[in-house]
Amino acid sequence: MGSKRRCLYCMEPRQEQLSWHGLISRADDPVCPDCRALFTMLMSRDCRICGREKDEQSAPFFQDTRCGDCVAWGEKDIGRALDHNISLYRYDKAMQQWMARWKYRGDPALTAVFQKEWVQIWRRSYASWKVMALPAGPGRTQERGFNQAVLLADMLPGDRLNGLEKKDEPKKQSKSTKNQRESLFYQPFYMNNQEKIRFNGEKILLVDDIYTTGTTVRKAASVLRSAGAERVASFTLARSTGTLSRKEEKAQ
Amino acid sequence: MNLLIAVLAALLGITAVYYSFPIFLISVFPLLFVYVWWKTGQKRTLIYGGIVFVLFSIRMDSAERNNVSAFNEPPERVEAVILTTAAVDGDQVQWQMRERHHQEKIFVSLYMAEEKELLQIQSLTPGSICRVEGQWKKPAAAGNFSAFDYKNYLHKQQIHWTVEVSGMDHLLCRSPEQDSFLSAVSQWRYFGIKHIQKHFPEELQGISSALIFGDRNDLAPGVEKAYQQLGLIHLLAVSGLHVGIISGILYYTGLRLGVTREQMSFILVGFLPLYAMLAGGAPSVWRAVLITMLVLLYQRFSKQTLPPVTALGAAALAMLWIDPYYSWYIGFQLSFFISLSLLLSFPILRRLHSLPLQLFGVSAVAQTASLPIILFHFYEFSLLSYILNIGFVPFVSLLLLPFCFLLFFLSLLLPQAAEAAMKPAEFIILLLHNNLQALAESRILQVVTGQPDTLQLLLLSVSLLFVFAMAEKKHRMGIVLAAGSLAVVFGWLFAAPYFDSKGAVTVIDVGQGDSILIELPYRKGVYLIDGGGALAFPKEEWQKRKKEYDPGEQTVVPFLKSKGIRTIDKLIVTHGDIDHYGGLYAVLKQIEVKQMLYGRSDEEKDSERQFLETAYRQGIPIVFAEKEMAWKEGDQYFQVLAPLDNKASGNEASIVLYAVMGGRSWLFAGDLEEEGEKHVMQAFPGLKADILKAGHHGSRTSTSASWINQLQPKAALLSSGRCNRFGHPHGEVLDNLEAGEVDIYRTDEKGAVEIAFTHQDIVSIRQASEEILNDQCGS
Repeated sequence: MGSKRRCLYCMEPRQEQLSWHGLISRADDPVCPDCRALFTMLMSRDCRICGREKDEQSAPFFQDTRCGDCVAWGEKDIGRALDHNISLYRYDKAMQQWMARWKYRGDPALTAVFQKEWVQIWRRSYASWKVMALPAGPGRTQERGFNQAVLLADMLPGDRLNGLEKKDEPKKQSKSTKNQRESLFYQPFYMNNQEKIRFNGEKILLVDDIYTTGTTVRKAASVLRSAGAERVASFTLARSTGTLSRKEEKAQ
Repeated sequence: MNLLIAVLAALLGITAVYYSFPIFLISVFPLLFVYVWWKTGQKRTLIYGGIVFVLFSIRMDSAERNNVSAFNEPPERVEAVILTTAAVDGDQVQWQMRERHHQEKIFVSLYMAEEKELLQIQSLTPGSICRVEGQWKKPAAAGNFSAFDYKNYLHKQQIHWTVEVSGMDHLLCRSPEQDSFLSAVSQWRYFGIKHIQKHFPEELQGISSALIFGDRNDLAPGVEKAYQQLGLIHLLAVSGLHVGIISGILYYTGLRLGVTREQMSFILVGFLPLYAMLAGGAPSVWRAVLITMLVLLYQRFSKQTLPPVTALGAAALAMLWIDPYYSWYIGFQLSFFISLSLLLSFPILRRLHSLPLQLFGVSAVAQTASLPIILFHFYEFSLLSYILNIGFVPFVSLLLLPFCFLLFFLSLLLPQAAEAAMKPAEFIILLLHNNLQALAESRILQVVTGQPDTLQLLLLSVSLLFVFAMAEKKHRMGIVLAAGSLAVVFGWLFAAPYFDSKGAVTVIDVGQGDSILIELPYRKGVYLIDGGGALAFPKEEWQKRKKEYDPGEQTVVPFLKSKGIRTIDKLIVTHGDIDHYGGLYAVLKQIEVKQMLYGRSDEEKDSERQFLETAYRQGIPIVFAEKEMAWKEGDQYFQVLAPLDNKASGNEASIVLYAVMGGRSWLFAGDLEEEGEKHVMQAFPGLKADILKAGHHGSRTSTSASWINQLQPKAALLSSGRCNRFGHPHGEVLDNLEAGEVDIYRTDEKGAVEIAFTHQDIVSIRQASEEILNDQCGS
């Protein structure tokens, strides 16, 4: 009776869970319902700018619809370079594990797990924006064999924007400490001069896997803005909330 | 999914062969093809589906070929084996038997002459061999539109003859030579039911027999009808829950006694078919038993759990292969479809967290999903059932069912203890059933939709599918849209008659009696002239049936409901004879009547008075018809021609109604006789009628030659019972009509007559049956 299908994530054989909706739709989920339930979608956009959730930790720093971080970003030029960020999922234990398998242990097929939601959100709000994958340094791409941002951007139909490049960093970001990472004077991004690209009032959607403090995307955004982009927003798979923001750190 | 497609292919194959490839089915094929391709994208699935379709077509074809009688002529006497337990009702007993020579099933009914014959009959166990002498008849096709077709019903059980035996002298039986296993099982069932009849108090008998042995013969008809009307009848069917409880008890008792799990699985697999037979072998029992067996076997051999949908699909395929005629059984349709709906709704039901909410969810899904099937067969549904099921499902399945089993075994082992427990139980059940019946009779929240046609049924099903799918996805806009389309379909069902430019006059086949329905175009008016009624003969107490034949209950009311009629504007009771008003008791109970026009007689009979009082107590305005009473409705015109005065009595007091409909003149003559005809002709010398409902069922005392001469009808409608003892319609009347070149339409010959008309002319005349129904009257 047909071949046994397996869940893309847990690899367990799957029993077809028939349902009413299943009868009239064909897009079946590549992962089983149990795995699907592991991930938490971010439904409320508490911070209108970065999508940070209002929880015990972040609530005291919220000013209206902006979180403490974004208030602080608003005072800086580089901070204002990014229009806003939208993230699909909370960066929790399950997401961390998924990222570990996908990115570090190199299982790019797992990208398909979030394809449906990813494309859906893009289609709903960003179909008119130009998509650009956040570049990785040549060394990093070599090491991994792929750039995760490109994988995510490739799920979206239409053309990619090119021209932005990144220098290899001295250290991997996630292993560096907050201060090093957020040194606003270090600019790893640059425009690929040979192509002499100027953006004429384009709206650019920068795609990356994770939004933590927003420094990286803002650095990229500021380069794009100076190259003529009108607005730059970032579209990320997960919004990390584990780390404390600067203001919160200070308060402690 | 693939198995669901296979079941669909099988059903298509079966129906395609049975209806010899009608256009509708053929137009379904490409649709289904596209759907399967779109859904699975697998060539394989399409090929498998095609193979299943062909296999089941062949299976059905061979079933139809073999489903013919070996008897061309009725034999004088045959030897036959009793297959079923005797269904005793008053002085009538019925069995299914198998004729021994040709191995053909026959349906035998016997009328007892004396009460003491019952003792003899009760000693006849299944498996007994009898010499049967009686009158062989071919079962009759349906005499009414969208009505129960007895011939078809028996055909699907491979029965082609009914045999009427006039007494125990003509049924000589001996005990079985050797007990076959099968007959032994049906004997146990027989003794079990007998045991309940003997030892259980009356109110508990019916429900216990139904719940333990799947036998509803002992259930009071009113109670059964209440369960059906309120959407609770599924609780009386032996089904999954029974099988679950029984398997569970056996399994754990086995384990306690030290049997291993594996052995216990095998024991259960062996025992379950036996139980299915003990419980009466209804489709729902077999479904449950087959699924349990499949799950157990699969687990035993593959060490994995069989997905429930797969088990359900496999069980459906197995049953359809064994007997393709199951496709037409309501029990089969409901049982499988509701099970499937519940499985499909699992993602919705899982979201409900409290037990009462879950119960409501399950009952709501079951009720809603089965709507297309329910409306197709019963033309109405109860909104009350949504609420009632919440309480009744757990009550019957968790309390009553185990209690009945307990009581049954207790009464075998410790009769005294059982007796003590029965008293309070009887009280509770009596209370419950009385309330249920009262609730059913009140018809609160009972929605009559009429019989949906194919397109309406399809749209209804598709809307429901989308409602469920959108509810599952919590898609708000989708839910609104799907619910909207559902509302549109229901609106259409309700409103369609009000947009129909066609009206119709239907002479309903109520046997010996009259009942004529007039529906005006755009439903500007619904009039019912008489409601049939069975003549009652004095009977002794033991002879009385639980359910005496009542054409009102069995024919008129279902017919009105099939047309979606909820209100009768004028109920015209021509006169006070039982064959004209007897069936109206049922009509008054179930359908709103705005006004009653009554043909008052000089002398009122007691029974007639009783009928009038019933109507009066219901607050129905009663108008006694008088000559010259007339009304108009658009192009249509109605006038009472008789009674001329209040001095007439009996048949001569009949209301004679003249009408102009569809540009034609009509005359409904009630039971008017020759004398009355003369008076009417004198009073209305220029009277003509294109269509005449002949007086008094075509008796020779009515429809005189001069009456025909005067009216010059083109068509005559004759309403009389098949093979009636009065010899209606009389040859003389028929001769007179033929001499006048009048087209004759007889209900006794081809059942109900429907004449459809628009405001201009008559557009069609048709009868319910294509074949002659009264060719077996005998002497």
